[in-house]
Amino acid sequence: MPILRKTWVYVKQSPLGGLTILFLFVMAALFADIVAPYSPINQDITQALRPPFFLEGGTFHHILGTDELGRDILSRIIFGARISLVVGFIAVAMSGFIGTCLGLISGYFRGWIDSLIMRLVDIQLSMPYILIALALIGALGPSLRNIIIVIGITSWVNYARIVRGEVLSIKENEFVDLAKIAGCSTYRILLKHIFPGVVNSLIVLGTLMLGRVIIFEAALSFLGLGVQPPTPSWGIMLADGRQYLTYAWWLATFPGFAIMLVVLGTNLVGDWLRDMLDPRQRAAVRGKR
Amino acid sequence: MIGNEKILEVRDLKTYFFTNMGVVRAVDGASFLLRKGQALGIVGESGSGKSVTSLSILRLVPKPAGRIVGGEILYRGEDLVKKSQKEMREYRGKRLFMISQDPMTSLNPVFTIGNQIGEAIRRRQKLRGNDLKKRIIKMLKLVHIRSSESRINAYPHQFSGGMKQRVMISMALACQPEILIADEPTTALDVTIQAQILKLMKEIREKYNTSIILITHDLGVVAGFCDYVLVMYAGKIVEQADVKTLFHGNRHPYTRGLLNSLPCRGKKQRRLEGIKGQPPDLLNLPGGCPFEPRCEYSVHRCAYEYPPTESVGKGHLISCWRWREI
Amino acid sequence: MQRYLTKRFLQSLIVIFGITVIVFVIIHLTGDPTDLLLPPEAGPAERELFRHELGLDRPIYVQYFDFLKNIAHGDFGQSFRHQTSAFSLVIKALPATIELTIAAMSLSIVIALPIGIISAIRPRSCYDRLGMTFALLGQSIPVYWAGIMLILLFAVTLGWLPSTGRGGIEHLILPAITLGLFSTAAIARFTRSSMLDVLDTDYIRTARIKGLSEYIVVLKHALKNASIPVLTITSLQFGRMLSGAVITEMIFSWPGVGRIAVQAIYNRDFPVVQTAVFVTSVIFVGINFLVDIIYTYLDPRIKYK
Repeated sequence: MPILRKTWVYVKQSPLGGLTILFLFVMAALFADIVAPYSPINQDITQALRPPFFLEGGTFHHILGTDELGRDILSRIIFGARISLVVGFIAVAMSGFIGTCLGLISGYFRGWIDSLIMRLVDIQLSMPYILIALALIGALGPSLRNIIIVIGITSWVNYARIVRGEVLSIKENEFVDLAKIAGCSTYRILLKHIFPGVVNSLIVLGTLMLGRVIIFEAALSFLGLGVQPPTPSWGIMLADGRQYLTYAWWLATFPGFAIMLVVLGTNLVGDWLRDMLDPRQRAAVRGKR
Repeated sequence: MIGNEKILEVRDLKTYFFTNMGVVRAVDGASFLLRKGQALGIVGESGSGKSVTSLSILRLVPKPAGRIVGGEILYRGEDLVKKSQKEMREYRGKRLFMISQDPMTSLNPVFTIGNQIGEAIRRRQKLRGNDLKKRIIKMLKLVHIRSSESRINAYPHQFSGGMKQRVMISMALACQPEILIADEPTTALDVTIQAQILKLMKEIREKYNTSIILITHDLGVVAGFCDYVLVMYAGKIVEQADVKTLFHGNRHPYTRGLLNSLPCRGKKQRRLEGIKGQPPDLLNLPGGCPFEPRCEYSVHRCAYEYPPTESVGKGHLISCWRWREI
Repeated sequence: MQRYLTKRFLQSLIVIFGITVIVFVIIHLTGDPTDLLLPPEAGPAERELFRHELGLDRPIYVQYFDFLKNIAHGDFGQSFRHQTSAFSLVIKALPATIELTIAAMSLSIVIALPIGIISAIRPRSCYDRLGMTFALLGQSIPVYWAGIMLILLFAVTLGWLPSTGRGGIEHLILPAITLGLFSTAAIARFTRSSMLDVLDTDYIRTARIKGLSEYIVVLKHALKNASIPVLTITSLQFGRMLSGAVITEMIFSWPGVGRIAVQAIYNRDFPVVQTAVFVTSVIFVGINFLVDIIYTYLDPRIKYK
């Protein structure tokens, strides 16, 4: 038992656990063609609804079993990682960019533009983002591109708020005033003086948001308004699996488990980054007292 | 006024902090006495261990990192180091009390000051309702805060720093402690307020015969208030004596340095002398006497062997290899 | 205090106003309802007539003001699918969502607060590690998977609880747990960090110097201070739940606003969609305002900021 606990503590405290998980998934996504035993869309009705290998009726040919059309679950999960991670990274990059820009502008210039942007943030935060996303996709049509855009549009607020907060506290420092006095152009001040102070929080936030975006994409696919079949998305697999819950539980269990694992990875890494990049200074001071 | 009764006896107190970057020996072998009604001053720079000493007496050393690793703290014969937190709670608020440095953060912002003073009062007397209110008003009066209904129901952020410190003192009064520790009570305040606070503390001492431990880096305050003084450096008490002797008969280079750096009234103002060198890095203390790098009297021995505590005269102790020649 | 609350109230109004704009924009993005409502054989002339009747040929801002006017009267249009007003449909479904959300929120708070507090009082202990591990997992598990797994365990395998529909308390349990999972984790973590910060302050030290019992120090002095930021998180979580209820309601076939809205999206029944979005948002804004009022009681400094 103590061994288990020690391992878990180790996994939690070093970034190793989270990074390993993420690394595995990224590798799986990149090299899906090589790693996956089958093609994700390869149907074989004769093999439909085979249980995973550890149950009766399962084989090692299909380690995690097959779905109602005979497609190998493991392969679909591996290819599904591709979708999730692609959507994840691009959406995070997109919304991160928009949010950071707006947050910087808002926090630095204050005044009416700050009020405007913050009102926008408040408004968007008050609205149920899933419904908005669903409605938008319903309007624009479900496609990979649209999903990324829609997720990007609904997520920017998180970055804007945090960046703005950071900018406000960085502005308190004297070096900002000094830079102004020295005649630095606004652009330069923002880029060279303020942005570096914001980067830490951004990295942490981006990592954590990656997990949330992956969950979001799968949610949209689950509701049928995300990635469309035959492209394998974890969300679609869950939706399918739900119908067969009573006699083929593995259809829904493993894809969901994959989602949980990836998000666990992002959370672990994000938390570790947060601890590393922030209260380092505080802990050092505390020790002295 | 000062009895002979030994109220507090600290013997070889060692409080260390165990951090990621090493061990900080915040208090490294401190020994001193406190008598009934006495005003004891602890002087030193930041990081010298003065505050940690007081926290150790109260057993409120910040926990995960800090720990009392050795020594005894005898309050009327009872060793506080060996007491459990539960037992300590009987002492705190009734026999021991502390006023800390920053009045701005010492009061709970979400409760009224009446509420907070009331808590202190109820440690001694089980009062409620109107009786409690009357006593709160009396406590506030004692610290010269014009009290009224509105004051009692006011929140800390509505008070100035000086007033907040006076609220703390009124809490101290309510507790009627035998030992009152004041950790730099006036550092964060204006000089004019400083005088008021010190006057208040003098009144307390005279009225209730409370023993006071005053921690400060201000020698002027020490001169006007204390009977006996400890000089601390890097966790050690380098010299201790009654106040007259300390000012006029001191023998430790550090004490000399401190006194010499005060501007002198009356004398022709020469340049202010500081103590050369840097404050000690508590994580990387050199062997031997910690003051050695900055000491103009240091000899070879000082760098690798810490001097024993010796007696210069009556009640005057010192730790220096060369005190006889100074 | 008056000034602060008035200010917040006006801000809330502005937000609601902004919501109407966004809702309006989204609806117009969804395209011309003409194609949906008219049979495909309808010729251009018929279309023109139809659009004119619906007022779709007027300039945008006129349509918008009409829209506002109608909303003020509670008129969100007729559902395309069902022959009733969109508003009545949503209102009928609202109690179900509220019931679910309140149940989930209550469950969250009741479980999360003690976990967070105990973790903070005994950091790095067994309780702490266990509690925070569960919190971490709870924030990693997606709502839909949790729901499906709970159904798998309790409905399919064990047969203890029903998996769909609304009824007695046994119908409420699984959806409430599903919906509340993430919030429980988030609140527990946050309570812990907030309490740790507070327990480190000077005024808590003063309370200890006074010799007060640990109970009072933690439950009176620390908790009130720590609960202020926790309240912020809780209200954010509440908003999240109103969103998250959508998925939970779909999984458990819970007849709430979320499910109505999703079905409306499938059916391209836009009046219902816009009504659902609007009503949910306004409720959230209202709750935020309530939370502001509660703040003024918890933190006396707010009035003066």
